[in-house]
Amino acid sequence: MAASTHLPDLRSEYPPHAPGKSPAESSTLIGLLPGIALLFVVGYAGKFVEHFLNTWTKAHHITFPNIEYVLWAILFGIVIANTIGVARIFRPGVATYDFWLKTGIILLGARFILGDVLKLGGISLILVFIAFAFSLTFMTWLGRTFKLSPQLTTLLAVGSSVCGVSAIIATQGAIDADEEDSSTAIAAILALGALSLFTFPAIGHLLQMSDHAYGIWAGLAVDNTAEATAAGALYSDAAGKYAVLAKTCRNALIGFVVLAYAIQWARKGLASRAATRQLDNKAAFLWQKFPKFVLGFLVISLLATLGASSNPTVATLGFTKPQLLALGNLSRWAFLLTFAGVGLRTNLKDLFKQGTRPFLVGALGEVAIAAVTLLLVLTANHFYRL
Amino acid sequence: MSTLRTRLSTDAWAILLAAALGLLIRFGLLRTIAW
Repeated sequence: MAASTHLPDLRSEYPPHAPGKSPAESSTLIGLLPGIALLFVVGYAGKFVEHFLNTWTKAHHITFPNIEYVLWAILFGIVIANTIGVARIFRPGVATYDFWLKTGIILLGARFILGDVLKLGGISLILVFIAFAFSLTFMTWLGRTFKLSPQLTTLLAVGSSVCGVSAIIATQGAIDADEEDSSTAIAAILALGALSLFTFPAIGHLLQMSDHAYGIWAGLAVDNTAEATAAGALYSDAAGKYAVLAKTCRNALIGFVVLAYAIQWARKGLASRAATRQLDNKAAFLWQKFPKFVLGFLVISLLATLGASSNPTVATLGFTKPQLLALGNLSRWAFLLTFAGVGLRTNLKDLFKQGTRPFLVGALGEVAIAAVTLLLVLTANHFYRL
Repeated sequence: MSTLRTRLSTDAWAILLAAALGLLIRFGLLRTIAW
């Protein structure tokens, strides 16, 4: 009985699809196992190559930069997906990479003291607001200049300023955009996310950025959460941690942005009756769109903070240092599966199949956003020593 | 059970798994996780 029951849709972003176009076939728990095993094999192969290269080059006294396993895992995934392809039996399990991403982020809370979350989160939030105002204005202007439909322009603006695919899917319903617009915007955001994996670490190294500053920049500028986490981790483990924090701040704003758009479209009389009705209870609307896994991250971070307290009674409520280390390592394993999934999901053919104009608008917007956020982060780093 | 499985979102499943792992570690049932 259990084997034939439907599992939740853990495949929200794979393959890239608009709402209503999600894969029709349901998966069983056993059906997920081959794909999860593939994620593990690809991710672990990346870890093995990193370790092997480090040991081999040291043994032979060769100077060679440390290439994080993240890059190998993503590259192996891309090669598999674009040569032999991902066989049908693996697809449901591979698509759970979004689930591992969220689990990894929650467990990452163990590596943050709540004070750091509030300080860096506060700075990140201010930077997010500035970057957000810029990207919405700039993308809207670009969309009009390139004569894209208002819906597609809005989706691209939201996708590039808030949090990629999830934001596009959340906004699509609120502004009554059609599925083709959503698919185009999602494809553009994913294509640009894939490019950022290679460009961001190179720029970071060129500018000799600190782990903190680079991580926050990647979290602010790379759109999709999985790609932002990977872009950070490609630089260093610590940078990956800060990229997740900055990205989580952006994600937390998703409800407010969608709400603002929904109100604007309803006022213009462009939203459907169903979308307008949703606005009757704004608190429920915000809660519905809020990424709940952020709460899990905060709880784990709170328990990490309590454990570090000098008051022994308070400290017993939280995690001890060895326990935090174990949780932090579990988070790394969850991210290993995620990064393998990012590679296995990247379809190079699809990246070039979309229309030129949406891609151009997305690309121009992303370059401008990356430059502005870089400037913001470097300025903030100068004053606050990020 | 099947209804519960279908209704829970990815976020909820991630929170449940993290909570289960956290409890196992907190009560010493899972000690060392190597990386």
